[in-house]
Amino acid sequence: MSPNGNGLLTLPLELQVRLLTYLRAYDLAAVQQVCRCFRQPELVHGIVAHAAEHVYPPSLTRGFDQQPTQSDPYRPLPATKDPPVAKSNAETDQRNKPCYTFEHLRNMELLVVARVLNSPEPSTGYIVSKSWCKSALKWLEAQQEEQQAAKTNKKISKKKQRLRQRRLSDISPPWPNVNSDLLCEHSCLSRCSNGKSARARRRYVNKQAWKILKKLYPDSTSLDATTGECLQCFAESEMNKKNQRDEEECRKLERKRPLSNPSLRRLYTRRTGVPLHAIRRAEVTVFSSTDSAVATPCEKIALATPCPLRDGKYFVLPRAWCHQWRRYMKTGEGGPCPAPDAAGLLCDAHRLPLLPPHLEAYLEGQATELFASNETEIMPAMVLATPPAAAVNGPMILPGQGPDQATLQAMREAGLGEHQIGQQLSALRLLETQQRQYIQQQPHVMLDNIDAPVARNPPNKNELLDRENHSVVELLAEEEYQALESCYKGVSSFALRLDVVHGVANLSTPPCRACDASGRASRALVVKNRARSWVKKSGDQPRAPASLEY
Amino acid sequence: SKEGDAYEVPMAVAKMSVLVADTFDADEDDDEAEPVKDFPLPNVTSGVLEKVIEFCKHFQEEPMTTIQTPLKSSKLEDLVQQWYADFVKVPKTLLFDLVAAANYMDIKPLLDLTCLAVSILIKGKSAAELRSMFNLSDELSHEEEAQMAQGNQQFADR
Repeated sequence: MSPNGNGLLTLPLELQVRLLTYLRAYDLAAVQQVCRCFRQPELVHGIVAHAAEHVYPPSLTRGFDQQPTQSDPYRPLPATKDPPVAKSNAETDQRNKPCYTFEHLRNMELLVVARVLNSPEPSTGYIVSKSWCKSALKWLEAQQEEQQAAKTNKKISKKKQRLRQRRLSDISPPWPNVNSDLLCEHSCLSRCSNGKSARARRRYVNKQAWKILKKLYPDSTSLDATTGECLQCFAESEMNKKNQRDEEECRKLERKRPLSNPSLRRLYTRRTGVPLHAIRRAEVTVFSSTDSAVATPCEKIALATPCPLRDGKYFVLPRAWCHQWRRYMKTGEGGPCPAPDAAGLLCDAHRLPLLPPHLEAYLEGQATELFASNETEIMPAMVLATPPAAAVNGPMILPGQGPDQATLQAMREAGLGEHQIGQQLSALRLLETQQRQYIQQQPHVMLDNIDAPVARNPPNKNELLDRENHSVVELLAEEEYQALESCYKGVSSFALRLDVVHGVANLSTPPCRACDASGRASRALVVKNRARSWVKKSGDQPRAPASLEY
Repeated sequence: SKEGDAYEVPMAVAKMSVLVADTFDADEDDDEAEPVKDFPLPNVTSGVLEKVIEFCKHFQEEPMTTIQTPLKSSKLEDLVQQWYADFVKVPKTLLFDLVAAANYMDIKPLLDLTCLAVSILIKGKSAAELRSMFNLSDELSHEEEAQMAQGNQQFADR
């Protein structure tokens, strides 16, 4: 029973038809080339007719053997009352039976795919890649065009040919797995960031349409809409997020570890630029206490000095570096902060320290705060149109400086006791505070009396500081600087040392008095041609405060 | 069988063949007393018949799933149960003999399975590969072959 072709050719025609109906047009085209036996019209017709009647739904194969008459050949044809041509002719009139070829089968397959893809999208079902659908429809259209062109045999100009080739150049046959671009590495539905992204990449088809697509493209991966996205990917994604969070937390803890040191924590949280614990509480010591013996002899000496700092070693660092360090500690922005470096406080010409005016004013007791501008300190006094009587008549005390010796002596000579003097000075401080608040609350009213342009548009404190100082600095207590240095082991750091002895502050290296520490002169020289625009800009749009919010 | 060998099978197994079932149903009216009935199959060799009986017996225990066309996969295991996939993994000659025997004895499940196995063999092969596989001579002229190749290009959808 196996003479020729291992018995394939000896099988009866109906068996051959039955056998070949499992195949698609592509495979049948290869079979057709093997031998003349497979080109018999009866065989081919039987296969095509079987496919039209039994393999695909008749509603999808209707009209596969008709000439395309519409511009869009893949549009589902309107329902006709006539039965399918293949069926009716095969049963009724043998002589009128159309002679099918495998091209008809191919057309049928194209038609079925096009009609399936053009069917209305259900709300659920099976997921199909939209890019595949688009590619498939484009390719089907191109195939249909080629068939039409081959049938008409109409010559077209070279220009049209070129345009057509250009148009068809990006068209490729649809890939074997309909959903290959939707699959993750686990061969499941890949995750989409959001619903919009998912809708852009996927569409639904009903079960029947999916079965047909799956039949025509058997390598496709079935993605049921109810199954959902890949759980493994989801778990991995969540795990990655958690790991990232943990790493971030570890980095944060590592970054903030230096803050476990109380000295550094103090440095981190303060806004005044001065270690508060190092400020002499002269007023409190002297005036709130009835027993003057509480003050130590050293403090008693210091009372007479203007420096608000206790005796000890201090270090001067640029405020820019401190800001950078605080920002890194708080948010990690800008990367690890380099070791403390006060090289910017040296003058370029002599490499000697430049004592910033605001620091000098603070150390000499001319300013209550380290970050106080000369202008802001002076301004309230200028605008006091009607100062309170008590302020006028009372002893004048420089802010932060405490009572001068002459005032104290005058009070004592007037017969006032220490307690009464303390009350007087407390009342004066209260008045001064109220006056400051009043000025700050009604700046326009108070400043209208001043014709200076600066007063009309009061510049911000930091801007004034920057304008008046070559660089703004902060003071660190010795233990704070040592704690900072311990964070940068093996890296050299540099800060200006300031020694306060008996209320007198001196830099360890004498400051340069030849250079301008305010930077005003150099700025005027450098930008003299642009000074107008610079002043205008700085006046119109005050720079954002450099101080950080804690 | 063709060689004269006799195989005893239960009636239910034998009646899977429409040919046998029709013959026995006709004979029941003539001779109801005979418990064992002979049925000659001169067109089927012993080896093929053994395979057919093996199929029918297993089918009684585990019916084969219906094969849907066109094939949703090019793997037999995806289309039918593993036992049936293994059953048709035989030499091509035996496979075609099984097709012919199933057709002759009119056993539809076996015919479906063997036809499917042959289709799987053909699927995805080029004309040259098919010629080599089935030992077919090249009967087409060069012109015909060129014409066919051109036509085949149109079907190349992947």
